[in-house]
Amino acid sequence: MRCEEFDRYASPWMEGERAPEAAEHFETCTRCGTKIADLELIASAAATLPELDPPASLWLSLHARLEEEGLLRPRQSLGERLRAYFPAPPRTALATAAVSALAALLLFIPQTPAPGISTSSGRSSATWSFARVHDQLASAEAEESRDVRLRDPQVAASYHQNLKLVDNLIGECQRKVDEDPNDELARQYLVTAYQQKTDLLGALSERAALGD
Amino acid sequence: MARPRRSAEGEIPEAEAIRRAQGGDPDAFERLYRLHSRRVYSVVLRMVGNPAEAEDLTQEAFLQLFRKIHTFRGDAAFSTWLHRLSVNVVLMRLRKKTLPQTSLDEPADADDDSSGPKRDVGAEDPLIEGSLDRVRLERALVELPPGYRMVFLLHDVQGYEHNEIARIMDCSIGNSKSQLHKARTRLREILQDFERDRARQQRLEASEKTGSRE
Repeated sequence: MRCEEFDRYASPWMEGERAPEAAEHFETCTRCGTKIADLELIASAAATLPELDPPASLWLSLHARLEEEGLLRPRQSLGERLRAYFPAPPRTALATAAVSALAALLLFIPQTPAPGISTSSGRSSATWSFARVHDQLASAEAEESRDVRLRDPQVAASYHQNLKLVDNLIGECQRKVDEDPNDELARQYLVTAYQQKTDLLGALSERAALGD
Repeated sequence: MARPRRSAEGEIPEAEAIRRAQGGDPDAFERLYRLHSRRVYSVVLRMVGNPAEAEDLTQEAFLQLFRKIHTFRGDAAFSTWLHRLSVNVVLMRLRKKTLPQTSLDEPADADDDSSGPKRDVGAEDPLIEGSLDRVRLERALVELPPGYRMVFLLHDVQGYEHNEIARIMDCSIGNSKSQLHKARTRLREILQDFERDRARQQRLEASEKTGSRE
C-alpha cells in the first residue's frame, strides 16, 4: 500500500477502525505514522481548550429582550408562592389578637438590636426580633385556644391542619435563619409565614365571633 | 454525548427547568441560560472571532430558543437542539458577509481551498509535536473554512458525537466524519506552515546576526 492509499483509511483509523491492510502500512511507514500522531495530538489539544465566559451583561440584555417580547411570566410574590403550597385559611377580617400580633411583627422587625451582635446591616436585629414576634403570636394563639371554641368539627380540623402547616413552615424558616442570618430569602419566607399565622388566628377569631 | 456540565447542588435539574420555562418561569429561563451559555458562547466566539459579534449571536440563539421552547418535546437532547439553533444563527451571519457560500451538508473542500498558505514543494513536513499549544491551535482554527471549523469545534472541543453533530448540522454521520478528518488534516497543514514560518524567521535572524558581525 502507498501513502496516498493509506490516506483513504486515515479517517476511519482515527475513529478506531483499523483495517488490516492499512495496519500493515502504518507499521512500516514513518510518514503516515507521524501524520496520524499529529492528528491525534491536535484532537487531544482541542479537548483542552477552555470554555469561554460570556460577559455578565449578556444575560441582562437577553432578559430585557425576553421581557420586551412578553416571553417571561411576571414573578409571583412570596405570598403567592407560599399560598400555592398551603390550603387557604378562611378569609375574613382580622380579629383583635391577630391585628396586634401583625402590628408587632411589622413594628419590631426593623428595630430592636440584638444584644452583642453588630447591627450594621440591620439583619441581625431583625433576626432577634423574630423571637419577640413569635412570643406575641404564641400568646395570641393561647388566648384564642382558651377563649374560642369551634363547634363545627370540620372547621376545627381545617383550622388545626392549617395551623400545623404554618407552624411547620415557621419552624423550617426559623432554622434556616438561625443557620444563616444573612439568608434574605429565608428571612422573607419567615416574615410571610408569620403573616399567614396571623391571618389564621384572625380568621379563627372572626369565625368564632360569627358563631362558627 | 457532549461533555457534561457541572450542576450545583440544590439547583433545579435541566428537565424541570425546561418544563418551567415552557410555562414562562423567569427563573427557569435564567437556569437554562446559566447551564448552556458558556458552551454556546465559546463555539460562537471561535466561529466569528469577534467578542461583540459573538455576544450578539449568542443572544440571538437564546432568543430563538426561548421563543420556540414551548415546541420542545424532548425527543432530542436539549443541548443538541440549542446548538442546532446556534449553528444556524452563526452560519446565517457568515453567509451574509462577503465570505463564499457555506453549505451545511458539504462545507468547502479543503482540497480545493486555495486561500491557505503556500507550502514549499518537496520540503519535509515539520513536526508539530512540541510546538503545539493552545494559542497556536486557536490561531490555526481561525484559518479553517467555517464548515470545517464548526465540525471540529463541536467534536474535538465540545465533545459531541458524530450522530449528534449530524443532527445539529443537518448532515449525514459520514459527512460529519469526513469533515472532521479534513478539518484536522487542514489544521495540521496550517500548524506546519506556522512552524515553517518560525524556522524561516529564525534563519533570517541568525543570518542577520552573522552579517552584522562581519
